[in-house]
Formats: sequence, C-alpha cells, structure tokens
Amino acid sequence: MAFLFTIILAASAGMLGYFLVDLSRQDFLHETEAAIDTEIRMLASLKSTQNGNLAAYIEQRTQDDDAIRFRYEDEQGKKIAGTIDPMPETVQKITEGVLRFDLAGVKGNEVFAVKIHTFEDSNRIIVARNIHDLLSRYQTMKIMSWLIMGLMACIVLVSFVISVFVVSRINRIARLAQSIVETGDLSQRLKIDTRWDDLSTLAIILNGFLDKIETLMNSAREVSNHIAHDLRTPLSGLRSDIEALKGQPFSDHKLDQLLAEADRILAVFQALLRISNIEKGNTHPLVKEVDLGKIIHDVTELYEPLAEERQISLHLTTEPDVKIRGDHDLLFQLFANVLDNAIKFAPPASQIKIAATADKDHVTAYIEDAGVGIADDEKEKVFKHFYRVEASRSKVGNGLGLSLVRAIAEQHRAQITLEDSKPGLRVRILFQPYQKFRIA
Amino acid sequence: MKFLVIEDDSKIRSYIEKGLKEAGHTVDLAEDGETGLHLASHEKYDILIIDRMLPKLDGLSLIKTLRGSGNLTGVLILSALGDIDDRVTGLRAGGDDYLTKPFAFIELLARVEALGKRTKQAHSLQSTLLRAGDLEMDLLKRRVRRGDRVIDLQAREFSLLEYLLKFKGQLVTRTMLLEGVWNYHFDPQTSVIDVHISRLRKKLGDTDNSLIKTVRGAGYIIEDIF
Repeated sequence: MAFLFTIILAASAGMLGYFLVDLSRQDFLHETEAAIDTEIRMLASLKSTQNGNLAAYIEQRTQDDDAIRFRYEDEQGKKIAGTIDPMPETVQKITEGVLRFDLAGVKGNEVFAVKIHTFEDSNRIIVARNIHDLLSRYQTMKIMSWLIMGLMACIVLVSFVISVFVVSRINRIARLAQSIVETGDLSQRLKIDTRWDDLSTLAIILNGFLDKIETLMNSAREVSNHIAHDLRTPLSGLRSDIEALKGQPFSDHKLDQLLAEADRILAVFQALLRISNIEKGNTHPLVKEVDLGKIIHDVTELYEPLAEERQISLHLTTEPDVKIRGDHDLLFQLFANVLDNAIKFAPPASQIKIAATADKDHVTAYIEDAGVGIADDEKEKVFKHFYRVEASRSKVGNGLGLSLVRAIAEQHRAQITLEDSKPGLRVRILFQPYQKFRIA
Repeated sequence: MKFLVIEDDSKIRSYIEKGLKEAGHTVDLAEDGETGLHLASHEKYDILIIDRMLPKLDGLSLIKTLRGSGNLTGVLILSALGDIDDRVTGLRAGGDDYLTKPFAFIELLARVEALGKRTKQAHSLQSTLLRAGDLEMDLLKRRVRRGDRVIDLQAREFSLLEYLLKFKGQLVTRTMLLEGVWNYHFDPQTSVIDVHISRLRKKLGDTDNSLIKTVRGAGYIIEDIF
C-alpha cells in the first residue's frame, strides 16, 4: 500500500519533469519564428512587384506594431530603411536561423528574436520581434516548475519515510497479536518509543487492553485455583463420610448429614455463580429507583433477632427518602452480608451502628461494629474469593460473602471502604448520588 | 395432584418423576417443547414444571403460547439461568414460580405444592380466618389467639405466621419465606430465618416445636392435623 502511494507520487513528479524538459526546448519560439517568416515573405513579394517601395511599407508596419522592428540594408551593411540602428554589438544565437538582439525598448534593453533574409540583389532585410514578455513569463514558469518539482520530491520522500514507519508499526502490532495467539502469553507488550503520533496512541491503548485482559485472565485463573483447592476439602470430607457408611446400616439421620454437606458445597457453587453473574454485569440494576433507607431498615429488622441472641443491639439511623438507583434484592444481599459479618465479629453485648445519609453529592451508608476490625494489610484481601481472616476460620462461612458484596457494589458503581472505628470496623459504602431518571 | 414435567435432561426428568410419585402425585413426562405443548393443551394438569431450555420449542415461548390460549395452569419454571433478570423474564412470560438448577427436590416439592394450593385458592374465596388446632388467626382484625390467650405479634411475625398457616400441611422452605414474607430474593448466609421462627414459637408458647415443626435441611411445616 505504502509503496503504491510512493510510486504514484513519483510518477506524477516524473511527468512534471518531462513537461519541464519539453518547455526548455523553447518550442514556444516557433510561433514567433513563423510570424517573422510571414513578414519576410511579405517583404520579398513586395520587393519583386513594386521595386523600391519597401521603405514606406517598413515605416507603416513599424508604426502599426510596437513589437516589430526592421532594418533594411545594402550589401555593405548601410541602412536603407528601418529603426534598428545601429546594429547591436552582441548577437547571440537562439536556435538555428534565429538570432537574439538586445535592443532599446520601453523598459530599457529588451530581448528580440531576429531573422535575417538576403534578397537576390544582395540587400538584406533584418526582422526583429519583441519576445521580452514571453521570455520573462517563460522564466517564471520555469522557476515555478522547479519549485513544484522540489516540493514533489519532498512529498515523495516524506511519504516514503512515513509509510515505512507506519507499515513497520502496524507490522509490529500484527506480530505481537500473532505471537499472543500462538503462544497464549499475555504478558507481552508493544514497545512505546514515541508518543506524538496516532499509532503510538493506538499502541498505548492496545497495551492497556492487554493489561485488562491479563488481569481478567489472572483473576479467572486464581478463582479456578481457589475453587479447586477450597472445594477439595469439603468434597474429600464428603467422600470420607460416604466411605465410612460402607457396610453400615442406613439411617436417615446419616443421610441428612451427607445431604447437608452436599448442599453446603452446592451453595458455594451457587454463590460463585452469582458473583460471576453480577461481575459479568449482564443485569442492569441502575435503572430502577430504590429506597435505600427502607432496604437498610428491612435488613436490620431481619437480623435483629440474630443480634439479640448475642445481646448485640442494632442502632439504625436513616434519613427519610434516601433514594438511589439499583437493584432491590442485590442491595438487600449486600447489606445482609455486611451486617451478618458485623454480628459475627462483634463482641457480645456490644453495639452495631447502621446508618444511611444523603447529601447533594453522595449517598453514604455505613455499618460499624465494635469487633476486632481488620488489619490494614488484609483490607484488600478480604474481598478476594475464599479469603478468610484468621478470626473467622472457626466461624460458619465460605469466604465469599465480601466478594459478593464487592461485586454488587461495583455493579452499582458504589465505592466500598473499610475503616477503623477504634475499636472495630466501619464498612462505608458510597453510592452515586441519585439523579432523575435518564434513559441510557 | 397431576403434574406435567417438560424437561429434556432424562436424569432430572426421572429424578423429579420419582420424587413426585413418592409424594403421591400423578406425573406425565415430555422431553421437548412441542410434545409438552401438545400435552399441556390437551390434558388437564394441576401444575406444569417446565425447563427453560428445551429442544424444538423453548420453555418461555411454550408458556407464552399456553397463556395466550387462555390456559391458566400453574407453571413452575426450572432453569440453570438464575439471574434476577432471568427470573423476571421468566415470571413475565407467565410463569408462577421460578427455581434455579441445581435444586433440592424438597424445595421443588414445597414450591409446586404451594403453587397448587395457591391456584386452587384463587378460585375459591380467600378465608380471612386461619386456624391450626387451638391457634386462630384473624386477618381482618389482625389478631392471633391461642386458646383463650391473645398473642401480641409484631407486623413481620404476623406475616410469617400467616404465610405458614396459609400453606398449612405443607412444607415451607426458608427461601420461600424470604420471598413471601420479606419480599426479598436473596441468599442468607446464616440461619436468620431460624431465629425468627424460634422467636415466633416462643411467643406462641410452642415450647416443644409441636406447632411449627422443623423439617431438617428443608424448612418448616404447620401440620394439618392441628
């Protein structure tokens, strides 16, 4: 492609060059020469018919036409008629049979094309025609043409350089893509050496794209690793329990236990599936208006008895009319998981604060407990699939609760932060401010 | 009750058939959408259990066709697609309940039996007075009595008891309670529902769990014999 372009450009430059060569042959002078010849023929015929009357004719012609001058002289070069006097000192040859005279004109010395004709009686007639303007026009044209030629050459050169550059970059992108397809190695990146051109921008975007794919791939790999590891334990537990039943009489109680174990494993799969569905983002929760205050109220009410069993009191403060856009069930799940954790980790007879507030810029909800809190270096890890803090290993759970919370929060474009409430943990969730309904 | 199970997976089909027959129901089977539609429109069933992804005619189109022809038989949709969106489209298409695979058979049974009762109740007048043994619940006056004793219940406890009594003699699962009483479809991490039930039992003076019985690994039941 790039070469084709260069070739077309070069061809047009060549055509221009040919035109220039053609021009320099001074073909344009032919017309002038023809005009002079006509003049000479006229004079010759006049001389043969009306002898001696040439001088009057020459006078007449000189007056009629500014551009033409004559000199009629005898054998010795003595002027008989005409205005060319004296003969110019320097005479140059333009082409075969045509001479160049520099004669005084309106603008000083002007250039004339000249032809000399010798009659049968050895008298000579010199006919000169002004070509000064023609010549200067020809000069400008010549200069212009050379300029255009130069420009064309520049364009050809630049376009060649650019096309080589572009092609090499595109090839580089293609090679990288090819190599990723062949090896599956997503850690490869394009080299970025400049930043000013569009292709570098493309390369930067492509690198970002690869980064995203790599993180996604890695997290998928990580999750499947976790699934393999974390589900092996309960599955092997189930297996050994079934093995222990060999040869034993069947009892409903034992079967129930096995079923409960299997259900727990299934529940983990279910939870994983839900998280991945939410992360996939194929549901669009942000179109419905929901009352966050009511959801938090309902969650608190649902968990009240559970908290009461551990003498934990729940303190709920919500402003009226805290509205956001979201999914009613998923938000309920989010707060249920967070509150469930809070109740699990709060010391007995403590207090859990739950609040939802709305101002112009944010809708904030938080749940604060007086438990042990989460160490700073674990704050990111707790959101990972199957991660469980040391304190929770003895408690019921599958390590997916907060992963689900995060997935839901991200789907709602909410920001979730774990803060130290000294002592205890404050989970703060910052929602997008409520906006009037907008159809995307 | 008479069931029609439209499901292309033969394992699940026979699993449901076996379970429903053991529970004393009659079961017809269909393995693709067209056969299913033919059977459903020519025979009289109490409940249809329909898989969403079926060969020849998919579950949702089948339900839409049935509803379009004025067939109001209760439909439970069975599907591996468990998203909120999927549920909503399923229910909008005319399904009465939605169950995600994999499921425990007991959950399926509880749901279809409740569904059967609901459709039956829709035809007769809804009673405003619910009874179980010496327990009496007046839905209009919002009053609960056990024997001579008037029991004071909070709004949520009231709806919880109402739900259990409406499906008297039937198993009610925890997710059914969450959907029916709390109106949220979600997945509780711990036994929150159990705590609500034990609180309700305490208020009702049901010390030996004889009124509201726990079905291990499944849910609760208020027996019909009361």
